[in-house]
Amino acid sequence: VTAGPIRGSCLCGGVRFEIARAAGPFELCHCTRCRKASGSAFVAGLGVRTEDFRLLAGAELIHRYEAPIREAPPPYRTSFCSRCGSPVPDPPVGSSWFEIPAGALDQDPRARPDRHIFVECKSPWYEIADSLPQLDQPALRKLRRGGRDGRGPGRA
Amino acid sequence: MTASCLCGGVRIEISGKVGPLVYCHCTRCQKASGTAFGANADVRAQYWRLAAGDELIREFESSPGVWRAFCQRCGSPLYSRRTAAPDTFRVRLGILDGDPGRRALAHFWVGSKAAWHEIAGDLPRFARGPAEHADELAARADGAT
Repeated sequence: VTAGPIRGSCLCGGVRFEIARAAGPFELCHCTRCRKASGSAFVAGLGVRTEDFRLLAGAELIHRYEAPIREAPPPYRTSFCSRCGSPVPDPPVGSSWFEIPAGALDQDPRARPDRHIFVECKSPWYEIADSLPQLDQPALRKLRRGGRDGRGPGRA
Repeated sequence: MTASCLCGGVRIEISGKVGPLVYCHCTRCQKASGTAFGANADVRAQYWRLAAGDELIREFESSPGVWRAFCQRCGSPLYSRRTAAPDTFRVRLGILDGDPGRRALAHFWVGSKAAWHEIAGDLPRFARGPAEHADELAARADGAT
């Protein structure tokens, strides 16, 4: 088993970071906002403890966007490199845990996706073909209330 | 059909059929989307109209002659275009507001797929891109009829 930090970077290389380890959960979110933020079928959000995250370069390149609140705070938030547009990790101030876009990783995080979430919003053109659990919003809320693995923000 | 970014500032109207939907597992598509693969389809320029947000679009040249466009306000990936192919926009499917009426053709560049992602399902898997596998794709299309 390899040890040591897991590195990541944006497409242009301007933003670089490392994480000491993945904490989880690792969720594939099909909500409408995540599909627009990724331009793809889902966002792959890997849970990381903020204390395990270190930004190595490119703080000045990171641009943050907060979408209007639909149901309840916190607002939907996405951060990207202003030069190449790649989603990049950007821990909210005061957070102890946050999600990083797994596509930015340059190395294997030694974690695998736990589940698909917001599957009721899934795009019509994408078929989920793997055997991971598929949670809709009510199921996800129940999981979040249930136990420590349920942590993570409610999205919409 | 329309396509729009997360903040709604960029709006694109697509008046014709989009090309085959492809899942691209190349490293650049992973980084540009922040996820396991890019989900793309070609749209001919004649069917493509930028209805709003021209001033918000920023393009990054990810390899010589290949430009990836995103919204500078919200970061949504929008499309890519090639200097060598001015009549084609490769739209990012996640920004579509409706159903393009097609399903995915295949996975491409599977050799560079993310370590954490497992490709599941019956779609064909190719080592390189759609252009490099054009003959096989044409043969499959014939065989499917």
